[in-house]
Amino acid sequence: MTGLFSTLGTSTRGMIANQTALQTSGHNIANTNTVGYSRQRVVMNAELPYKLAGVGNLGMGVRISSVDRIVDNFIRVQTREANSKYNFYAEKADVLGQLEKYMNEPSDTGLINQLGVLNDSWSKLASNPESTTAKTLVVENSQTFADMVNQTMTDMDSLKNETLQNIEKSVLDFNEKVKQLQVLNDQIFAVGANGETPNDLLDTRDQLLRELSGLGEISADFDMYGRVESLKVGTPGVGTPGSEVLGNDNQVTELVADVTTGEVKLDEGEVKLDGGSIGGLQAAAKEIDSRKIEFQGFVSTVVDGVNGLYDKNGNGPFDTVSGKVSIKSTIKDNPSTLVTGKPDAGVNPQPGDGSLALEISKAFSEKNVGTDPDNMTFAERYNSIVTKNGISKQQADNVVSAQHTVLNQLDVKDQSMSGVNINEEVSDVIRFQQSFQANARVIQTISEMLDTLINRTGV
Amino acid sequence: MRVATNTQFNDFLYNMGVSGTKMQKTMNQLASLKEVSQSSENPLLVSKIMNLNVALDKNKTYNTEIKDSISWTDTQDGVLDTISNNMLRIRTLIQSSANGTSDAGELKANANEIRETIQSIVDALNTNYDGRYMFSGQKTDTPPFKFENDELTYQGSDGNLTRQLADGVSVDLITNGKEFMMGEKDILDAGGNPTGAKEHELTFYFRELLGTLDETMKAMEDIKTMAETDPNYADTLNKIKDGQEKLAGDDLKNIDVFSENFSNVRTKIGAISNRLKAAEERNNTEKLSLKETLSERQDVDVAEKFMQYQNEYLAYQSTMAMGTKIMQTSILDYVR
Repeated sequence: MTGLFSTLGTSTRGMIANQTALQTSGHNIANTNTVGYSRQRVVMNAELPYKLAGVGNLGMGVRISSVDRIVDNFIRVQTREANSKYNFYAEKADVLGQLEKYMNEPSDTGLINQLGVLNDSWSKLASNPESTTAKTLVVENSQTFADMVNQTMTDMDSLKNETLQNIEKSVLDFNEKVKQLQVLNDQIFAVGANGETPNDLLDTRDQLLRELSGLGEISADFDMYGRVESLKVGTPGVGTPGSEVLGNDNQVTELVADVTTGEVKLDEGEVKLDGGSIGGLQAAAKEIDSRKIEFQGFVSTVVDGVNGLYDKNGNGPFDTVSGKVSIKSTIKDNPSTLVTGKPDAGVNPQPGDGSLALEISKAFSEKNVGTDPDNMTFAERYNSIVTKNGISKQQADNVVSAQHTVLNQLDVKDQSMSGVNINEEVSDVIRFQQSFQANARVIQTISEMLDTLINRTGV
Repeated sequence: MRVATNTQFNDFLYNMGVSGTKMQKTMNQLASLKEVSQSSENPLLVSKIMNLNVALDKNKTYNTEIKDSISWTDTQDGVLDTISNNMLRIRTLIQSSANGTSDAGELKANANEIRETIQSIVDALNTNYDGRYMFSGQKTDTPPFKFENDELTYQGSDGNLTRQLADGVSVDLITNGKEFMMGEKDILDAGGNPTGAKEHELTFYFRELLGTLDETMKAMEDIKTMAETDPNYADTLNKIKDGQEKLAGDDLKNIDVFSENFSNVRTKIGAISNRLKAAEERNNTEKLSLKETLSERQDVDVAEKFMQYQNEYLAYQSTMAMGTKIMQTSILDYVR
């Protein structure tokens, strides 16, 4: 037999439990739009029963055992991996896209067009070797060609520098986030040591890890409190100490970016990144380097090709001073000194002899001209550089769009597990409210019973 | 599957982004009327397009070259046409001079007219086209022929002018004026021995021709005042006879040889002109086929692209209409 007061206690516990659940629903609704927030659930259990001799166990109401955070950790790990890959290619595609714009092809104003103009003016000179206008045209068009080539070279250099600087900034960002994680670890421990679950702190931890995965590919191990026990980034290069940026009793080791090479180092040892925007920037910087070498090859083929045909000693119209192409000042100041015919055994060519100009104009359609033969014409060489970059960018673009879909699907999966649904929460609110009201009604009934007993019984 | 509220919003934004991007791309294609604007959209196609543009550029260069060369040969042909008339006139004059009935006055007039005609041949050969002499080899800045004191001289150079008509195809425009002068022969001294120097056949011919005319004319003048008994009479008569025979014989024969030579060069130029016209034809065909290929690869089919645009626009509108409906509906509309 139980007392009325015992029933009063049961109902009060019911009211409190439902009120708490309502509080959690409110918390969920309030955080609907919080990035990285995972919905929480109040877990209710039946209170330990009262053993009534000869009768059995008597229920004593409800008890809140915990507030759980609903998360699928497996999806979170997958999301981090997909995010690394996505950011890698997105960043690479972005930089290569800029390189593509600098190359400015296909267009009516690009280098290939200018090569055509140059070819045309040499061939006009071949037909009109007496004409100073034709000579001036060759000189001016060569100058335009040189300007365009120099501009492209400068653009490539500044793009490379910008990329290296971005690597440095991203590395600083990475280090900053690892430090935040370090602080968070302490907070999680402080709460966890009391036997409580630091739900919201864990959300912040997951969000930080996701942001870190966007910068470089990471792997994280957690301890029993939910702290990040060890955080590793990338793969350590050969003979390097490792790649643990957080670990060894919550110690942070900062990454260092080499501004000249774009390499990322940890304790003087190289760390290779195959994911995240830092990795993407590094890959893009490498591509810029090879495109630049190819471009220099193209430029020197044109310059040496024309110069070599013009004069066996290479004293042609083009000059190359510290990587910049220009027109020899003697020719530029006085275009009429441009030679159009081939001197025959020391005898100066006739004024109508355009054979040299013709030979140079022919060189634009010939393969294997110049010092570095590889069976391509001038235009084909440049074409192949543009195409290589195009293929690289296209490949990166394709991975970006595929990876974006994957990431999107993972996000949907993650959200379907952890995301707040307002409709669901509001129906929970109604549910808990009704439960609360029913418990209150029980108290009211008990109160009426007590009134009957105390005030209307006996005397 | 459980759908979180944010998933609805994110999915809507994602879908709107996708259909918006598609529409944007189609719109750009329609605006530029070009299928691709960047290498990365289709690297191999763009590579082909660039190669085609290079080929078209070259084709244009060659086209100007061919047209220039054609008008060059046409002008040369006109010049040689005049010259063949001139040569015919010289022939007529020689014939008339060889005629026994011509007297000294006629012979003088003929000789003068022949000099004038030779001068007009020289003028024709010195025709200047586009600032250049057409028959001076590569020495295009000097008038190639000179006719002074009955001496015809060529002061141009030997070479011809090479023009490129297509990749690996070139033609030599005939500008070497020596072709008209025919071969060279030794200059003889008074004793008839070679002096070592050489002169052209045509130079020799004109000088000899005019010399014969002058000598015959002088003999005719002389004989008028000479008595038949003069010891030189028979000699002078023979001179007239020999002169007339030479005019009617060798000189008349040789002028035909030189005329024919002018015709031969004209035929050669005609053949080159034909080659040029054939090259122009090929050049135009090549241009057409290049443009067609380029258009096939580069240009958008406007009708098709516009239909695609309409479809994408519809998808964009549907995304908006559906998304906004779904997002606006919630349980709060029903809870009172």
